[in-house]
Amino acid sequence: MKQKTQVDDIDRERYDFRFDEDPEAMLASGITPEIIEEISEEKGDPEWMRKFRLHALEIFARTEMPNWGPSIAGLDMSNIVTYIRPKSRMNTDWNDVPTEIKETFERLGIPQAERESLAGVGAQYDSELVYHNVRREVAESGVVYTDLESAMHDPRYAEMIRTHFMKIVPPTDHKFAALHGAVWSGGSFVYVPAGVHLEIPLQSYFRLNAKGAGQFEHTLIIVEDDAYLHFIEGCSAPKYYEAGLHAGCVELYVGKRATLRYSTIENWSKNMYNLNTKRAIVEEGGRIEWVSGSFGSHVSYLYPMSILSGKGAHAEFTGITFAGAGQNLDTGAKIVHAAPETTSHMDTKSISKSGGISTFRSAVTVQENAINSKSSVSCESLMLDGLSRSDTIPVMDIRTDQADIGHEAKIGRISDDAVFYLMSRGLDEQRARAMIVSGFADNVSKELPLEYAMEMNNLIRLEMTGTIG
Amino acid sequence: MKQIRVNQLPTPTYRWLGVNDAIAELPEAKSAEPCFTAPDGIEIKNCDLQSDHILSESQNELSSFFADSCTFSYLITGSSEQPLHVQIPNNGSNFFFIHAKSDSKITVIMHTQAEHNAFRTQIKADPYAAIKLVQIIRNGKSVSDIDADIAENAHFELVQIFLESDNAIAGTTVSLKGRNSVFTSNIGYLLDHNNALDINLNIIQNGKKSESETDVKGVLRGSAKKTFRGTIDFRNGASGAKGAEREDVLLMNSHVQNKTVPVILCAEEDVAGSHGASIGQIDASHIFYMQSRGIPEDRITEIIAQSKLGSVIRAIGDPETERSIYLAIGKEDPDE
Amino acid sequence: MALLKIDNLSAGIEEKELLHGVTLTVSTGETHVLMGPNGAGKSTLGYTIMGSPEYTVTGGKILFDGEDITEESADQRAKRGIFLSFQNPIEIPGISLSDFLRNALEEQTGTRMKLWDYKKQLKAAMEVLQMDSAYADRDLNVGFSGGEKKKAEILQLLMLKPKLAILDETDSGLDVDAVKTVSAGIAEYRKNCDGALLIITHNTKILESLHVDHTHVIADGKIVAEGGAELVDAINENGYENYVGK
Repeated sequence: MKQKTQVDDIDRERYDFRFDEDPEAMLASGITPEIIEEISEEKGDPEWMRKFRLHALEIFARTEMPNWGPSIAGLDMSNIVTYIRPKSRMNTDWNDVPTEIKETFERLGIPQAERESLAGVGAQYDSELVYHNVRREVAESGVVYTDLESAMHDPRYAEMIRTHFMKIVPPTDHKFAALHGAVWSGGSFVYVPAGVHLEIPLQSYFRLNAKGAGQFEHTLIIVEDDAYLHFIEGCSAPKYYEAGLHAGCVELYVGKRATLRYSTIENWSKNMYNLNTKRAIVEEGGRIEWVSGSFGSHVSYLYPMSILSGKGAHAEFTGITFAGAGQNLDTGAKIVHAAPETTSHMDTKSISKSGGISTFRSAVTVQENAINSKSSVSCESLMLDGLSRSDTIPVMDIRTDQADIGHEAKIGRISDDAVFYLMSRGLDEQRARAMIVSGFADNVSKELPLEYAMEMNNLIRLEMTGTIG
Repeated sequence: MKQIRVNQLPTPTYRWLGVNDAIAELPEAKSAEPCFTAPDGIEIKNCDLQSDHILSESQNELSSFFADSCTFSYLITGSSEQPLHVQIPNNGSNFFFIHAKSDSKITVIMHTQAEHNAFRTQIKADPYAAIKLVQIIRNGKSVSDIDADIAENAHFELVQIFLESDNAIAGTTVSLKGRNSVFTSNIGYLLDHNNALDINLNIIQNGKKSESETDVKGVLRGSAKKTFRGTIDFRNGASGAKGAEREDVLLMNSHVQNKTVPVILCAEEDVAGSHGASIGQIDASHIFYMQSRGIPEDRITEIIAQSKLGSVIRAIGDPETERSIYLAIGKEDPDE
Repeated sequence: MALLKIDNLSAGIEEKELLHGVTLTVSTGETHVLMGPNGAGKSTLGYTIMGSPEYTVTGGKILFDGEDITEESADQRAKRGIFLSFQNPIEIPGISLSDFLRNALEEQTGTRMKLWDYKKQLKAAMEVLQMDSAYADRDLNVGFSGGEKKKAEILQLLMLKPKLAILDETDSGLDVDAVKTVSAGIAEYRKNCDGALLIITHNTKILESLHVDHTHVIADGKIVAEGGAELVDAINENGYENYVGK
């Protein structure tokens, strides 16, 4: 945690020194303390949370927009103001859902009830039941899996939440973290007691649509010493919200010798600005394993950060990003080696097609005390046509000599020989290319549970050929 | 002393890392003339930046500084197998325009061992021309700015060596505009004490089948700080282009700071680009192997540090200059 | 007097013990062969004698010229006259074979060599091994083929003239011609100095031109059989079956 503060300080200092404020880039947000008070009252926040929200709003107002990354000039903040006002929550209609999304649901074979729910227009859906069943099973081992808002009011967890909420992602981190702190709503709370190995993955899929949660949801997971958890977020169906901004926050606390695997297949609808912040802090001998697939959104800024704060902690990031027409997906990971003998490994793939832009952006920092640390990064990009763009922007900042840091990046296209070989065995060109791209993505698919891997491959096929086969 | 922002990363990233740009201190313009030792076939003449229309298209704060403050500007043309040696003076701000016409070959070796200076080298290689630029930068503050424009089938080779430079800034932009244009570079640095080095190498590949290859080797000791930004920028239309870049950094003291930013930008499908970096201490298996042949550990680190730059020094191709660098490195050896 | 005396040596990597009480003596001028199935501990023994930091000695002693060298670093042992030909020679970019070997020679002899004398010696040694002289200026082992790497090891053996040479699978992966060349190099070493050899091998081709004094068979980290040259033939015929699991 100490490390984080340090990073913040550096940030501000550099910022003040280098950059002038750009009034054009400042969004007229129109979010007022009154609106925040309204949200807080509606939710029945405890006093500390009400104050927290108001403080975060102040930070939001004075924090500048990022001066790097894809443009978010198209983001309509006034629309978001409308959305976050509890009294004026919209009753959207299935008819308002864009045709493109409806078609995707159809292709994916998702039943009508679920479609409406996934699109955010249905009230509740069948999976709620499944969720409750999951909860009963895991509850027996002492695991808590509930929504964050009710946990905050539960005397058993209230203190735990107060001491962990937005501590690794403080509202001062960046403008959208501040916005999140002010207007957050919904999300999950998971607590795994020391020594408990949860065999089945917990899936947030099932509680996605609980009471309008979704766009500013907060996920807080605490895995105690020697425990194991696999948490899966998202599904292949596109999630659609009218307001167009997703500024969620994920905070993961991994105890000594504990392991947390956090898997995401993100497929927001293609009008969405996805400005999500994910961060994990890992204690001595603990492991964080991120598995991340980014397919949706109009614009994404997504770089899960791992802070290796205990000796021998390990971070692993496996990711794939697929940017199609109209998409600008800026994804990657950040790793901070803040203790001796910490290790990290990053393996990412990105694909650009039909004018899509994908950017791999990363930071690996090794602090002076992180002696005998090791890090390796491998990123590969595939260009599927000459309309698209693919950028790779990694940074390594190494401050001890006793470190071993490697980085390999490659960019290229599908080899004609490979396409020809598959075609010579009877596949048409489109299929051949789709198959090669699926193979390219297997770093992620082999890390996912089977059903998710299949969903992901379906998504790739859908992006490649417009059909599922 | 004028300070300006230089070495901007072509596409900025997270601010807290502090790698998006650097601050250069520029010397007060004084009438300092460089010293040339020219072979037959190479012609040097004074030129006027404004009237001779040799300012590059990409104007920025730094190039404006040179345009405004350079009292001595030189046009270098002709062709020779032998190198032209240039001593860059102290406190100067000089402008060199090296123009190799079709089928000609120009090699320029620049030496600087001054307290503080700044120099800009503009390169223009016409079709089938070859230009080799060697810069040996030692001690003091220096700002070296290179802007190269490479036409079809032309070749630009850059060798840059930084030896214990207190505070060196090097910004290089290479435009591979022509078909089959080639850029190769070997960059080496040996930094110690409070030395600081900030490099920004930006290779823009427009030309079809253009090729670039960059090899960076460095050693950091004491509490030296170094930032290397290397960008390969494949522009749309550069079909068949290839670009490779690699940086190898040997860290030899716990107080060093190394920042490496290996960027690839790509807007063309038919390209092959790669980037590699390896940063760390001497491999334990290397130490054991050399120990097993009787060399003690402290000597091994000396030998490896000295030899790290070997491939870069060999790339100079001028025996006398190479010798002078070996000599300079050898002085670091306490055993001698 | 015994040149190398290994006394009840146990050693391993981290927690795992790989050698369990090995005892072995090599005297000046002798040729010893160490044989054994894969994973028996042959290379471990070679590396431990050389003082690799990867292996930890957990018991016993290594004596060289009557002195206990168990705690010494690899360079100290090399200066005493121990040489190990690596099974997989390490690639070290940036340092030429010639510069490296000159450094090693100067360290071992403690005197500076005249460049001219050195080059002459090096050239002669490379001729014995039919090595292209261009290899001298290439980076140490970088981009060398398997055979070239092994030749470069024997080249170092010829130049450094150790009292004891341990050859770890120097013949593995070599074609017939290369084995011949390497054997010629070893013969040259024997001719020039009265050194001792400890040859770790599977292949008896390399032994044909040499007089073998002692054969040791190692299995599961223990010496399980000892004998003369005849033991090599016996193993060639029957394999290790008689020695494993006993």
